[in-house]
Amino acid sequence: MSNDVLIQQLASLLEVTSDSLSPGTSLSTLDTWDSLAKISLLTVVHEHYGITLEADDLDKIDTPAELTDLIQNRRSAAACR
Amino acid sequence: MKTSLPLIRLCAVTASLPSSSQCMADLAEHFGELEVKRIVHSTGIEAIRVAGDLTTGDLCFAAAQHLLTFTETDPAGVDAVVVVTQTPDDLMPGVAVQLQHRLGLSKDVVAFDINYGCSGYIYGLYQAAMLIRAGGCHRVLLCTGDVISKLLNSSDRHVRMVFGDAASASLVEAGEDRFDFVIRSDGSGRTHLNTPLRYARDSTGSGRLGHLHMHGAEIMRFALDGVPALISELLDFCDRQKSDIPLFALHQANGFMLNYLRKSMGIDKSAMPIDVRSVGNTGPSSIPLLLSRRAQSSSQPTREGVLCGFGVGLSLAAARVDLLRTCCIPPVDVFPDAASR
Repeated sequence: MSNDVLIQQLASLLEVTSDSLSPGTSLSTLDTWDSLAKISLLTVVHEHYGITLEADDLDKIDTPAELTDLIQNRRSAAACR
Repeated sequence: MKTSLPLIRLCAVTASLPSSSQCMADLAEHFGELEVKRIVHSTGIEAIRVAGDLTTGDLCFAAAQHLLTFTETDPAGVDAVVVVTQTPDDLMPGVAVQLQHRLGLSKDVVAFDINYGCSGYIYGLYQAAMLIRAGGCHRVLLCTGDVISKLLNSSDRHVRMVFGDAASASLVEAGEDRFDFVIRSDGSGRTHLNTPLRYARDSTGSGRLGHLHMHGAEIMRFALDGVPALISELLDFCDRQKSDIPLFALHQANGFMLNYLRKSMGIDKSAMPIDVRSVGNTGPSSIPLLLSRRAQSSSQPTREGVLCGFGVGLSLAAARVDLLRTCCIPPVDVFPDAASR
């Protein structure tokens, strides 16, 4: 899945338009970035990338760019195993 | 742990539900209409049942009495009673020994509780089967029950809009069928789903219970990683393919999680029922409640089922159970005047 598609999926589960999310948007400013959104995001990433993100990591990231970096790092780590 | 226990039969299953309901739409005043809609859309839970003054003992008693009456089982023929609960009426003694008295069971019965949540029904079946296989018991009454609504923080919308109260009763006997089990435990996730108990002596008592706390994303991660792998291991262990199994009765956590698990395992919708809309997540009772409520709409016997619970512990437990000769009885409602306290 490309980053653009990931942003679209993220926007959809945050109930905002994908135009309103830039790589640097602070997710914590959105009321919908809560545990429900994080649970949905776990499944989106699981389905499209075949990896399960740590729940703690989702609490640490604050922007879509950090999310894409996190997924990239996890995929690299999984490939090295 | 993996094991097969033959010469066992799950004779009958039923459940009880407190008659009082809480509609999620009524919580809009508290949490906001849009937020309630968003959560209901995701969980698929529109209402839950609420125990009020009823206790776990009251709900288990109602389910067990319903079961014994319906199956015309003589209470004197029950050799053991096992109760799975996280909300006992008293810290001691257990609910099971209370049921010995309330149901008029023989004083010769073995009676004890198991403290477990969403994987608890599988633990109960395992324990009941072991009691029979060990030779001391022929017929075991297995109950599950929680009044989990009493543990919830009223301002924590993510637990308040998910968990509901219920109980169940099952009869396990020596017979010609077989149960296969796979069980796993991971105590590192102890605080992801828990109710803390703090001992602290003062003039009013000796401790306090905290609210039930759930880290939803951790539980989701645990389920995504653990449930498909566990079910796959169980199927390999008992030499079955997914397509051989007509019923996957998973712990009814919420619609979102179950739909995702179903899709990721490639199981047909018709083989993996989801029944949370009007009862929510009822913890250790969700699997027997599902079996019991299915009996309201279908009288077709099911050859066998894979039952799978996951959650508090953290814990994963799955069983393949022969169900062809199992009598599934629709649940009974329990009204407030049945409260024993």
